[in-house]
Amino acid sequence: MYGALWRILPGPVWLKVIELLVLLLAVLAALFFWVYPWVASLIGVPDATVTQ
Amino acid sequence: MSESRHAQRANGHPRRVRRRRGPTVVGVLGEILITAGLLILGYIGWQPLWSATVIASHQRDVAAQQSAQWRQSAQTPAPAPDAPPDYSALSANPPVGATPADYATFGILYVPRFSASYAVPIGQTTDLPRVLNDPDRGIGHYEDTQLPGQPGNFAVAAHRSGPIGGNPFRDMDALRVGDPIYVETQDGWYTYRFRSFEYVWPTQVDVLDPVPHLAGQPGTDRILTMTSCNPKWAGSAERMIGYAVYEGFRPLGDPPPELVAVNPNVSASVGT
Repeated sequence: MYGALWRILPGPVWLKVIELLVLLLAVLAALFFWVYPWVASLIGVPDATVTQ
Repeated sequence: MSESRHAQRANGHPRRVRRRRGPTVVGVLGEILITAGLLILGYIGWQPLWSATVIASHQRDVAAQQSAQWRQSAQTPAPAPDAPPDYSALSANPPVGATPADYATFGILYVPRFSASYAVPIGQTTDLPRVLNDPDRGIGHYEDTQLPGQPGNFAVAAHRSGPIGGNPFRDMDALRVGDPIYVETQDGWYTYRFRSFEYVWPTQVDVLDPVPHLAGQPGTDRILTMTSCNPKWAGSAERMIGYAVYEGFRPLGDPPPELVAVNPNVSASVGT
């Protein structure tokens, strides 16, 4: 999987490393701003109030 | 390269080289599992970062804006520096605000024990999506309980753990007897002193009574009650309750010096 990704990326090794870092940042941003908040909304929150 | 291939062919293993090149089912499965593990680790790292840092700092900003707005519109004259003001008469009979509209922000809670710059807006009702989970608020006032300064119980709720919101009561267990707790409203500053904890079942609403656990008593003392979930980070089978007792009142233009000394967002003079 990751080996295929490495072969698909164009350019010399130094360029591939930069491309990988950009991809990694993009994935992290998508996780932090969309995926994880969505997962958090599924998990729900422990109730903090007292009710009858 | 070509030499080693020839050598392997000569050894009689021509297929092995081709197999190593292509992805195997086990290899891809392993990579997927490692990736899934990293994603879950990422969530565990993201969750406290998000709630404790991003949302908490957003709540601080909202609180600072609200506070500045109140203090500018109040136009309370700054106290004369040579004569320390005497607020004892005012403290004995502090002003009580009008009942806020549902979901409206009407107060700000400051607890220096939680952090020096801690400030979280208090909204009316304990509605989950509109107050407790709302990044613009975070603390909810039980609408059937009394208001700051009113004899009786000013009871509020906030999250202590969980993936949504800034968890304003995250460090509730760090409170010690005598810790100051300040409530700022558009009328002024109410100072409370932390007194005690209690752990109750989620249905024990009598902690919200004007005199907690004494139904029907009108209550002459002014107390502040905080409710949150317990155990921390492990569901909400119980409730953690924190009680604080009213100490005094100060006008908006003259915030408590103890708070001014620690909180960089609270200044002694109006409009700065």
